[in-house]
Amino acid sequence: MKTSARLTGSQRDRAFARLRSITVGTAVASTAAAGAFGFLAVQTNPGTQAANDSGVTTAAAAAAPTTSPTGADTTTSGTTGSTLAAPTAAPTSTPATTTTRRHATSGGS
Amino acid sequence: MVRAETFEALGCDVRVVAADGDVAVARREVGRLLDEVDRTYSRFRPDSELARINARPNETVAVSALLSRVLDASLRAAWVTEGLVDPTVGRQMRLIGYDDDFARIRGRTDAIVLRLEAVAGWRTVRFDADRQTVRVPRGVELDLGSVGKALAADLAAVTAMNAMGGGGVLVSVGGDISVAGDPPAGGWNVLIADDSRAPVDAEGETVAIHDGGIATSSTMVRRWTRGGVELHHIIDPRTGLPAAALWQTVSATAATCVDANTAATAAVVMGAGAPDWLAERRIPARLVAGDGEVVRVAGWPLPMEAVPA
Repeated sequence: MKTSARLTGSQRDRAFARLRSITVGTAVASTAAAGAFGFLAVQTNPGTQAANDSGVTTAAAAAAPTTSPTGADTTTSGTTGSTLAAPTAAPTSTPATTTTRRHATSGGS
Repeated sequence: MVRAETFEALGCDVRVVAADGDVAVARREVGRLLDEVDRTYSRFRPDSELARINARPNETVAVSALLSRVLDASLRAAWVTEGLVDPTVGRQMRLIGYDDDFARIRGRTDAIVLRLEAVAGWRTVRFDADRQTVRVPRGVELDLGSVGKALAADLAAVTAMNAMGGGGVLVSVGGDISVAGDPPAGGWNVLIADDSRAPVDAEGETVAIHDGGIATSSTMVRRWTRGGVELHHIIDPRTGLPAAALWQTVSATAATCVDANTAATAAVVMGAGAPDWLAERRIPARLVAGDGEVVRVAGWPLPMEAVPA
């Protein structure tokens, strides 16, 4: 196809406008396509949790039973979850002289 | 009224303390639970469920509810400590000579060969909590002793509490302590020591806790010598050998005894980075270095005598 060697100003402006619309349109369409593909992937593959890297086929965070082997209700807040569970309150200091009121010893064994 | 009973189980001293409840009932329930624990996951009983699983490598084996529970807790401990507390150290425990009740291994003096070799690691264990099955690869042996003892304390405290029907209870299994129910006025006063066998009226720092658990890991107990080499029972999974003891004793409190024990044991293995690691997790802890220096983090209190007037 034969074209003129030089474009007029208005022709050039129209060409740039057309190029911009194509560029923007392509970007918008690509983003939409990526989003749609991601949504589809999430819907069809629930994925794995971090714990599954370990071979724990059920997530550790959800695996702890809610009852003890003896059937008693147990507190599981500290034995589940992805991090160590801090106590409700930090320990408080007790005078060492009140030895008769001590209830137990925590030490290595 | 606070009453206490003590007895032996799982190769260590057990203490049951009841506040405004029947301590005999609490002691009976704790004893029954610890019997079940011993039958289920003792490493030293050839007839335990754990021993049978260790003897069946590469097989998917159905496990009881209690073993499922302790496996879950042990693998979670490994997960949250990035493998510093790892249940696959059973073989290494055996190789360093800890292959029987501690009272029996102390008398041995013959040399053993120590190998610098990382453990296979907790990621090699295939555990399905829903189906209650586990598969352990060949060459791997599980040792659930560390987390297992703490879990026993947690389960025992709640079981005893429910049996009493009210009041409060403290259960100490070899110094791993869990409390449930209403504490006595001022809380549960606990002596902090290197050795859990220290009597409650011994000299030492005392703290009060109101809920959850407290545990201490120490390289100062369960030490033995083989071929002139002194060993202890806290394995560094990265080397397969007893952990380098920057911290000789670490005590920690948490929402459960399992988490307190996990934190304390991980800190011993971790070494220099432990104070920051504990502080980031808001785990109150007391770390005693080899030279006796004491480091307190995340709200662990100064001893009363050291508090300025």
